[in-house]
Amino acid sequence: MRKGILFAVALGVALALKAHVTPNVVLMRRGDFVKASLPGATKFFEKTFQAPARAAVRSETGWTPSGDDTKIYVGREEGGRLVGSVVFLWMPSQHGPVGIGVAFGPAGTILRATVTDVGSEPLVWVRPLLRDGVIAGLDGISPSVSPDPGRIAPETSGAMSRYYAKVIAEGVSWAQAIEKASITS
Amino acid sequence: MGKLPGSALEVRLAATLFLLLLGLANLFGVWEVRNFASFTPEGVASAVGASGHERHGMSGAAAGEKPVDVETLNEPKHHIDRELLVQDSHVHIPVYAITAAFLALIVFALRLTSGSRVALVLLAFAAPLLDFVGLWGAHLWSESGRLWGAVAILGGVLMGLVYLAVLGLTLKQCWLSNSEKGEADA
Repeated sequence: MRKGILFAVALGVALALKAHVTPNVVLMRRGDFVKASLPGATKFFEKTFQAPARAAVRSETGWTPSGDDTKIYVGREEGGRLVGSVVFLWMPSQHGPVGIGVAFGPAGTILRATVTDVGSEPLVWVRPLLRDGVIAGLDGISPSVSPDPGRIAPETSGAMSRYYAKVIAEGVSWAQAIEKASITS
Repeated sequence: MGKLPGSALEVRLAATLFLLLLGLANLFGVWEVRNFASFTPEGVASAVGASGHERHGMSGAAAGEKPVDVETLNEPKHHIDRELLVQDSHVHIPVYAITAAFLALIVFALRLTSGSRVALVLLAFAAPLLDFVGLWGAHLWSESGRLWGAVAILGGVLMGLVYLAVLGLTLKQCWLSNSEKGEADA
C-alpha cells in the first residue's frame, strides 16, 4: 500500500511538472561563447543594468529587458582594459524562446553572434543558419547598423529558416540596443 | 455505462493498453523531472518564479560590475520564463484535457456508482487545472512561490491517483474478476 502511494505521488509530481520542464537544445554553452568571443580577457564580470538604460532599450526596441531574460557579461584584461562584452537574451518565437548571444568589441562592433538555446522543434530550421556554431554574416556590424536578416546564411532558403533568420536578426538588434545603453549608462 | 468489463476482448484490450502506454509516458515524465526540475514546492517556485533580478527590480540594482566565474555560465539552468510558460500552457493543457477525457470515457464504462464516477471525472479534470494554477501562481506571485508550488504538486498527485485508480479498476474488472470479464467473449 505504501509503495503504491509513493508511486502515485512520484507519478503525480511528474505529471504536474513535466508541463514546465521542456528543455531546450543547447547549441552553445554561454561560458564557452564568452571565452571564445573575448579571448584576450582574463577577468569576467556581470554588468547590472540601470533604469535609464532599460528605458533607453524600451524606447529603441519597444521591448523591456529584465534580469530574467537578459544578461550582460564584460571581459577585461588583467590590467582592467575592456576587451568586450557579451549580451545574452531570449527572443520569443512561434515555437518558444530562442536564446541568442552576441559579443561586442569595446566600440560596440559585433564580434560574433550565436544561438545558444533553441527548442527541439525549430532546431531543424535554425541549425542551417549557423556555421561552426556562429551566426554567419553578422560579424563586423557597427552599432549604428541594424542586422539584415538577408545576410544570415542567404543560401538557406526554407521559409521557416528565413523566419528564424528574422527572429535572430531582431534579437541581435535588441542586443545592440542593450550594448549601446549599457555603454552610455 | 459500466459495460467495459463485459465488452469484447478487443475493447478491453484497447482501454487497458491505452492506460499502460499512458503509464509508460508518465514513467519517462518521472525521469524528465529528475533531470530538469524538482519534486519540491521550493523547486517548482524556483523553476517558474521570477529570477532574483526580476523579483527585486533591476532599477534598484547598483550600477557596476560584479565578478563572475565564466565556468559557472556553462552550468545548465532550466528556468522557465513567461514566454515558455505561455507556450507550455498552450501545448499541455489541451493534451491534459484530452487525457482526462479519455480517462473519463473509461470511467463511464466501468462498473461504479454514479457518485464514484462523478468524483473521478471531477478529479481528472481538476488535477491539471490545479497544476497550471500552481505554476502560474508561482510565476506571478513569487513571494508565495512555495504555496503555489505545493498547489502544482497537489495537482500532479491527484493526476497520479486518478490514473492509478482507473488503471487498477480496469485491470480488476476487465481481467482479474472472472464474474465480470469477457461476457461478450463467449
